[in-house]
Amino acid sequence: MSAATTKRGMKTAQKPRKKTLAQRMKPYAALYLMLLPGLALILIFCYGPMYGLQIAFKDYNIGMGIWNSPWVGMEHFQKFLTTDAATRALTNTIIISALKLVFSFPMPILLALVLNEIGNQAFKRVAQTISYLPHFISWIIVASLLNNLLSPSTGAVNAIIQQFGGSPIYFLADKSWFRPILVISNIWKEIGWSSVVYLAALSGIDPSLYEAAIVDGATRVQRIVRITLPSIMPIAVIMLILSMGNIMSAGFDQVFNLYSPQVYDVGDILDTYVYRRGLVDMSYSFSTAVGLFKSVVGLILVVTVNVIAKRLSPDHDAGLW
Amino acid sequence: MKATKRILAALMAAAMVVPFASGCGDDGGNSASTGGSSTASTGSGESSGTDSGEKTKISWAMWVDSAVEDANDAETRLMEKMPNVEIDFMPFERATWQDQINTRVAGGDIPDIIYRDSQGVVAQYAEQGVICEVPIEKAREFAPNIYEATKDYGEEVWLATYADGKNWGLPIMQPSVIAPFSNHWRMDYLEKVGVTEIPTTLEEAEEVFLKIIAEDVNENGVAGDTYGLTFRGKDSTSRLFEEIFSAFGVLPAKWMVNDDGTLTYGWMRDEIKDGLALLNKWYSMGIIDPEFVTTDGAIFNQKVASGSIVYLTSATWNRAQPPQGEFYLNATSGDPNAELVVGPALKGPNGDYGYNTWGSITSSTTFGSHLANDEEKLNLCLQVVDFVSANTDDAEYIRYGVEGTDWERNDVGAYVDLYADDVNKQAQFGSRMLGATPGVPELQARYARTDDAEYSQYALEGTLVPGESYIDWVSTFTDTEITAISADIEPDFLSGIIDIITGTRPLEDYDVLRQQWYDAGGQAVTDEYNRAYQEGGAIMDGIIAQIE
Amino acid sequence: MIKTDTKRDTAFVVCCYIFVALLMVVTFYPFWDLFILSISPRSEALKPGLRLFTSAPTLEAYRSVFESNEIIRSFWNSLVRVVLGTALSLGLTALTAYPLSKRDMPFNKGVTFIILFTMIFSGGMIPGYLLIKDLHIMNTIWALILPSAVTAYNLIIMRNFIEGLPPSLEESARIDGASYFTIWYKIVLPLSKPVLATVMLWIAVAHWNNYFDAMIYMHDRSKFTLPVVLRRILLENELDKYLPAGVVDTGTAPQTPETTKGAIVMVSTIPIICVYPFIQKYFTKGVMLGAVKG
Repeated sequence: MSAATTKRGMKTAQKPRKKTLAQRMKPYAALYLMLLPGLALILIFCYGPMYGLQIAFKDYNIGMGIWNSPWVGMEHFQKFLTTDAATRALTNTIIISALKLVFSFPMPILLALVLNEIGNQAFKRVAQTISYLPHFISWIIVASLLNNLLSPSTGAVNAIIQQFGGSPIYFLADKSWFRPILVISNIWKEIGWSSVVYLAALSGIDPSLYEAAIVDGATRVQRIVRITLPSIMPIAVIMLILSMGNIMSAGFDQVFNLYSPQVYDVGDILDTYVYRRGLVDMSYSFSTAVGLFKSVVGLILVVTVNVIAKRLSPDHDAGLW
Repeated sequence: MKATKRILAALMAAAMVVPFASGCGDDGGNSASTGGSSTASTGSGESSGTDSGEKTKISWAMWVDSAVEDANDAETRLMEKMPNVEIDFMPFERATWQDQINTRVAGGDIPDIIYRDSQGVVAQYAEQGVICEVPIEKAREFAPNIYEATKDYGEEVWLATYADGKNWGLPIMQPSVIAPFSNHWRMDYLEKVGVTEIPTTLEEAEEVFLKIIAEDVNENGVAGDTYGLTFRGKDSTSRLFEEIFSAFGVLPAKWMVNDDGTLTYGWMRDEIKDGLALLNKWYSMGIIDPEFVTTDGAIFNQKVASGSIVYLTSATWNRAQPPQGEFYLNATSGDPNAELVVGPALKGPNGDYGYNTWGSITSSTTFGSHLANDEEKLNLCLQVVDFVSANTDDAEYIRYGVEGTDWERNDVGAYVDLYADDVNKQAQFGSRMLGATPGVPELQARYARTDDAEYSQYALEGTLVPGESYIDWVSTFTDTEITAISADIEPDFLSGIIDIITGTRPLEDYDVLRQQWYDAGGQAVTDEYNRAYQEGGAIMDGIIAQIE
Repeated sequence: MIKTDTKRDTAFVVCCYIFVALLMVVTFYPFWDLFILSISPRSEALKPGLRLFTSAPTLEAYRSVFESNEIIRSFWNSLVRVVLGTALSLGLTALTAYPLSKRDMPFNKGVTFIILFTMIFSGGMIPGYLLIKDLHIMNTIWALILPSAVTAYNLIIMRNFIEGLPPSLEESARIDGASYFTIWYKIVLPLSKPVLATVMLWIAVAHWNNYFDAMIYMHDRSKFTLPVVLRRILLENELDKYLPAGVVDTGTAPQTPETTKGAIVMVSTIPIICVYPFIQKYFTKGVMLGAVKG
């Protein structure tokens, strides 16, 4: 990280002032050329269909098409923000996402750090491979597994609780347990998969740094705190900022397969709400409106967190741009 | 409105009249002539095309529930019987078919013939200009077999294709789907505790339940892991314990007709409170499976297989029929001696009883809007749909091929696909191609089982009469904006209902919940349903008058 | 490495091993459970509780998956999609990420924002379909590969990694007169192996698992990919065995839908899991230095 800073510092120092734009761009000509194909694909395939967003403000009609459907202004947004069930879903989404961010987000980092301390390469590789297996199992299957594990009568978890003299808990129908279950099962399913990016970052650390620390007599924990953690901090910050863009999606598949009306109070999220509503009137416009709302909130959060990250970082150069 | 009752009676009669092969053949021969005449008219209508040897290309989109090749033999068989047509069946995967067809239609690829899943989506396509109007007059002329069949089935089936004052296609009739639910008992458990008669009242049932839960009837060494009943409280919550409520004279998820001719949502009727009192008592006695709240289809199956439930409900009678009924398969896989017996609906203190049904207004066949400008082709499309739907040997041939070569009957007279063991052959042969469009009831009755009568004997009984006690068709005329409110406010209400059953909230809270429901928008929903009931009644009378 | 661990260090390492071992058990269990489920007869497949073994293993569920000759065809389609899609996507992502890492380049911020915007906003399914149709790539492999070839998420991750590379190597190359393209090819790419491996894994898994685009854009059955076919088999088996007359199956007692689900997860997951060990070798310590020296 410090290396990268130096590089930028030097560049800034070299940059002569008051050049025209063309003059400033010229040295980068080859780079612009390299940028071209990727950018072209993004413009065509991501921005090309973007006009579809207008149906959030229209009453979309398949027969008339996107351009010719009648405008209705903010009607769908109004409907969305004035329905009690929708605002409850909004609140739940924010709470569940926040919980996941606080508890699930650090777990893959922790796993990567711990794996980094494992000396036995064979063990380490097997552990890595196994830890990312649950990622490939869809939520519908994980849900039926959880149902079995958490059942008050036949579940293994409650059997253990009873062994220790507790009384069985009906986890999935209990309002106070539902969110913790979401967070824990999310960690369980994604910890290994999410740690891959941190493992990649760890492999970029210069081993001589560790050697020097060992010579200085640093313990393992000290080495983690002083070398390993700072080295993966930049990527962790990026992952955090990126995850802000998805904060309004608290995990449709997970919630949809685990919830029941008994826990809608604490578990119904925007996506499940929109899905249920779609069963009634299948409105593309309404779901696009909610999607657009989610995107706008996501964008605001990404920008905000990016600014904060920049302010907090020592050289004000963390963040996406 | 009487019609609903009439069609149920008619279809039950059809199911109960044992369709012996010979009788079926006679019948088929008769209708074949009708089919023949319609084919003839097809020929004349397209005479110019036939002369020049040209075939009319027709595409037909629908879902299939099994592997079917794009170019399958069903196309060939249809073209063999209708030489003036070049058919292109477009089979879609069922689960995502709605998304797929909507995307294609929005992309400008509108098929000639489009299957539609419900009246709601017909109305949507009609409003959005995707499909074209098909006046009932036209249907009578070019789809005579379907038209005639709706008379016996119940004319309100035309509501499936009704929207905005017009008719938009041909309704699909499915007697076996709309058949009422029934109760299934683990007879072997009953016998173990010395009961030989199936309970017919709530009181008798309670007695039996108490005896059974006191013993280790499933012989796993653990007493107390058997329950009287459970319910799919996770994914069918709005119909929660409807079999018990119906004994008090109310189907919770239906719009019930009051004495003064107005409608009230079942859950809001006073009878619900009596039902809740009993369910709460049963819950505290240990009769009700406490895990009903999170039970869905898959967990329900587990419970059936592990033999922990005595009284299996909320399903049509066919579930218990060997060898393919789901309840039968699961129960016997857990215990080979399991015996499921169909029982009548339980009677309540006032003698009320009855079952839920899905209602007769289901899916339909519609026609692309571009056909509005091509009358001749629209007529031909109607003829094609009618041709494969008629009770004729030709329709049977197109669907299933030749009996003895491609299919046979099993010992209870039901259709068995001889290629079922070879998915590749089956996909090529295309015997599942027209599964979503099963044809007129008489055609379907050809393959009815001889033991249906035994299993369905109680299905029509009851004091809760569709069309009189409750109204299914009313949602056809309601405003979706307002019915969406109902979906929004129902979960909270049901959550409260579950709390009352489990004793977390007192029974008196029912009045509070009900008031909350009305205040949160339930009143508007109720008003809308009553408006739709009044207006829709007149519209329906108009449609029926058109038929008769 | 020198033996330097103190007693506390050793205790710490032991804790790490225990943590990882426990995690292995917990994360392996669901997979094992599914495997056992996939070979269980109906009676055991429907038993509640933990599944550790089965008394009467059967391959019936696998038979129902493999008897369709669509499986081979779709496996091939999926393979083509993964190989072609990953190669194109990885190459383009790496090519685009490098210029983006030059923060002093004019318009860098703007371009980054344009790209990031697409991570959060998307136009929706129907305009996407119309675009594919207008480009005349419907029903071709390009409909599956091109729209997702460059994604904001992968770009940003890769750009950030490249930014963190030691600048000294690149600068000395600049002094030697190497062009940006040469630097990218000769220096940046070899140094970026860990992140290339990570992004490659993400892209490959996405191509392997996505079914929705294949279902919407591929109209010919012969072009279906594996997830589309497996999904169909799953849904068929999930159907209620009770259906209107005329579609009654044969009398053979089928396996439960649950068993088929298990088998399908096995069939679809195992090939992609096999990729991981090849990628793992790029995650070992000091791989970057090795690349520089080598």
